[in-house]
This record gives sequence, structure tokens and C-alpha cells, in this order.
Amino acid sequence: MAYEGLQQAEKQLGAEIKVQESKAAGDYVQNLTRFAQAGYGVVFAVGFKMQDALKEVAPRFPDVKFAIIDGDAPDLPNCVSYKFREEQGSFLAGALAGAVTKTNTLGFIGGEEMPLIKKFEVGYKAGVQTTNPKAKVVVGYVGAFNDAQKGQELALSQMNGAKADILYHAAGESGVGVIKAVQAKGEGYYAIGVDKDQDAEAPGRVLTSMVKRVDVAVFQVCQSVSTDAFKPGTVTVGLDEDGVGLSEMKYTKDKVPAEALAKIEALKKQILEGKITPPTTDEELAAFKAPAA
Amino acid sequence: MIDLSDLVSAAFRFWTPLGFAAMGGVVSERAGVVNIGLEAMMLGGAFAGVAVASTSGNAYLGLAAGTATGALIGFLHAVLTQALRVPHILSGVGLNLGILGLTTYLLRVYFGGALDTENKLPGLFVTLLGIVTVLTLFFILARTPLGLRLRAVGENPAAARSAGVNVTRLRYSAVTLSGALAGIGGVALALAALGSFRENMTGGRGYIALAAVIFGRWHPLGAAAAAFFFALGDALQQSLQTAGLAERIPPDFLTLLPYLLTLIALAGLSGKASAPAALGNQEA
Repeated sequence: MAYEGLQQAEKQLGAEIKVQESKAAGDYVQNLTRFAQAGYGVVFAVGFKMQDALKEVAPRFPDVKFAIIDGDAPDLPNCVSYKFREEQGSFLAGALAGAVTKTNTLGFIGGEEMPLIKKFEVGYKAGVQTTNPKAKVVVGYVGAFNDAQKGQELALSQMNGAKADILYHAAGESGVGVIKAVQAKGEGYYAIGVDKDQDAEAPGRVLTSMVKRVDVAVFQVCQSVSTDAFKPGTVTVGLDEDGVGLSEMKYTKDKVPAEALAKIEALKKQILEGKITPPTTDEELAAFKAPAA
Repeated sequence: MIDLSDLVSAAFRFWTPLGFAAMGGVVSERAGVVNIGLEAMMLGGAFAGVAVASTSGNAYLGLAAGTATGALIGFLHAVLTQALRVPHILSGVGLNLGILGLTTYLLRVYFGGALDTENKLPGLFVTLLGIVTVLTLFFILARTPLGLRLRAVGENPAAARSAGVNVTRLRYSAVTLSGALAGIGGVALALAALGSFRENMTGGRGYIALAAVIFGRWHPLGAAAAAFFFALGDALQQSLQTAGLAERIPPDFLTLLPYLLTLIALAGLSGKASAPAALGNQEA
């Protein structure tokens, strides 16, 4: 997704782009340094894990702009941080799942338990509560973001063991297994995709996807640098500016009751107006009161 | 609360890839060659298996391709350790990194980062094949002249050579077979229930399989049982999460459980574990 944003910058702004993947956490500092030295106008650090490396490298290159996705930026004039309100999109996913479920049991499958993924989990739970107070959410963590087999088995366990019929994953490539498991179970079961629009990965079996527009964020930063409009600090994007949101549901829109879709639209509006604030932590979830329908 | 048949069938699905790779580990190590490269052989097998199954439309061709790819990587490990005298661990780790890089590269350049196929192998068939493999290997090692020679090569290559055994040839065969078995393990992981290949999808299963070999004291039945123990641990921790235990116990701890049990079990066995005497020897 970040790469797609760069490609857009390449096309529309004529930017020269280069991507380096870090093989290990120990490479972060070195890779950031190399890119800063190479004379790129802006260097992106993608992922909260690069936070500390950025803190180390950014002060040494005051003329280079740095942007971090999903992490905190150091308090420097050349650094910007982009964060997403995953809990908002997840809330809508949960609200939809709550309205569509037949078994009143929903599943959530995370990659690893950490604050970022927790935002998906509790946002989803709050959404479920809002449209279906009777439903319960089964939670499981794979323990990795690249283990499709464990993702698949965990999904099977939630569907067979707990009778969950809609599973939302925030588990990266482990989520491939979740979608495959749902696809194999067939009619009556849905997966909810994450990050990018995964609806086409199992047409008709992926209810919707909670899309996170990292590409838009990356492009925005590139644009701001190319027009000398770069602003340091933290930018948080949510349903506003379409930083997060549900996919267009190309394959499932007809299967979902129209009133459910209308309800989602209404909830989205309430979030945008600030009338609903989806929770981001367990504590906030405990204090969360589902709005009256 | 937890359905026993669901639990056991999940454990068998987790076991199958591990069991194949562990048998690969047994064959190689009983011949005296440390095989930490099982991970590479699994990953290579998984990639080739799904790539061929999706392009040819035939899952069994995928199985053949995955087996052959594993064997090829195994053969490479044999060349590196036997002909070029590279330390076994170094060769294995090098292969793991190299195959990870290569499969990732090929996946992104030729398949857009994701490989999926509808042409899957029946899970039950693959698991039964795994059980048959374990029993066959047990029989060969314990009851046949070939098994005796293989064990001799791992225990005392000099003596085996003076008894007329072609040590080098036997090691090449053993390590190549080891790769083939681990390659089938990779196919079992990617092409049985899933029908997908993703970057680094083995996620350390080669290392777990090697731990099962040690835990099972280099014995086919022991290694297979140890692999099943790990697999059951994974299935169990997932069932516990589904049963709602994650609300009270951190899920991180639950996912850690199988590994923790391994550590405890290995620590308890450490005095008694007996590796083949010539395991990892550079001189042969």
C-alpha cells in the first residue's frame, strides 16, 4: 500500500522512488541513514517498529524530511507521523457484522496482540455491541503475521468450536488462512478483510474490508514535500479524508439487508460528527456506551 | 467446551508438515549431516508446489515439483557440506536465508506477491502419506542393511568406510532424501488445506521440526511423536483461545505455550539425548 502511494508520486509528481525492505530490526538505522544520505527529499519509515531508529537518524539529517506510518515521530521540524483511526473503520465493520450475523457470534483474529491491533479488536467489538447487543465476539491471536496455516486453523476453531459466522481479521498474511477457511465453509459464513480491499480474494465470502489508505498518506507527504508545504507533527486520519473505511462491497452489497447498510451510513455520519467515539483500548471499551438506535 | 475430534483433526493438520520435515531431519542427521536447512527445503517445496499446481492445474504435479525442489536444495546442502566442507550449520543457515530471499523475489516478480490455487491436495491423503513415511523410515533404519549402513555412517564413518561403505555417496543420498521429505512437508503446509503460498509462510517450522528430531532422540517414531506433541500444543492453545481463555490469560502466553513445553521437555531430556556420534563432523 505504501508502495502504491510512492508509485502515484512517481507518476503524478515525477518523483524518483526507491524502496528498501529491512530484513531485521537491526537494519532499520542503517537503511534509513543510507536513504537520507542518498539525497532523497523524503524518507518513509513504515511501521511502528521503526520508531526508535527514526529517532536516532532524523536529527542527523535536518535537510531531509522523514515520515513514519503507524508510529510516533520525534519532535523535530523535519519529521511527520501518520496515524490511522483503525478503530473507526473497525467499528463500522463490527456494526455491519452485528447486523448480518445469524448465530449472534462473531470472530476476531489478530496477528499479534499489541496496541495497534487492539484498536481493530475493540473498535470492532464496540461496533458489534452497537447494532447487536446480544452478540458476542470470540477473540483469537495467531501469534504471527505470516502464518496462513495458523490463521486458517484459528478461523476453523472459531467457526466450529464457537459457532462464529463472521470473522474479522487483522493478521496480515495470516489472514489469508482466515479467508480460505471461510471460503471452504461456504454459504452462511463471511470473512472481513483488512488493510487493502480483499473482497475479491473470495468473491461473495468476504463481507467487506476495512481499508486503510496508507497509499493516500504516502502520496500526501510526497505532495507536501514537492510543493514545499511540509508540516511536521502528527497527522491522524480516520473516516474523514477517507483514511480508513469499508470497501465498496462489490460482491456482497446485494446480500446485505438494505436497512443494515443504511444503519452503517448513519453510524459513519455520527462518527464524523463526533457523536460516537469508537474505543481504542480495553479500558475505553469498558466505558463505551453503545448509542441508542 | 472443546470438541475433541476438532482438536485432534487440527493437531493432525499441524503435524503433517512438521512430521515430514522431522523425518527429513532424522535421515540427514542419522547420516551425520546436521540439517538446520530444513526450513529452506520446506519453503522451497511449498513455493514450487503451489506455483506448479496453480500453473499446471494439477495438485499432484505440484507435489512432485515440491518434492523435487526440496531434494534439489538438499543436494545443494550435501555439496556444500561434503564436497566443499562448509560447516553444516553455516550451510543450513545460508540456505535458509538464500531460499527465503529467492522465493520472495520470485513470488513478487512473477506472481505479484501472492500465489493461490484451487488445485489442492486432499488433507487426509497427505496426513496418511506422512504416517506411512514415518513407519517406512522406521523400518528401513531399524531393519534393513541400508539402514544399518546409514547409521554406521553417522556414528563412525571411518569404520563404515573400512567396511566397504561408500560414505560420501550415502551421505549425498541421505541429505537429498532429507530435502525431498522436507519439501513434501512444505507442500503439505501450502497445498493441502490452504492452496496458497505467501512470503516466509513456513515461519520457523523447519526449526521446530529439527527440535522434534532432537526431542525424539533422532528416532523416526520419537521425532514423529515429538512433532505431534508440538502440533497438539498449537491446536490446544488455539482451542483455548476460542473457548475464551484469552480473556483471562494473555494470548501471547497461550501462543508461547507449545514452545515453553518444548523447552521444559528438552531440559528434562538433555542428559539422556544422544546424537549420532559423528554428527556435524567435518572430517569424514
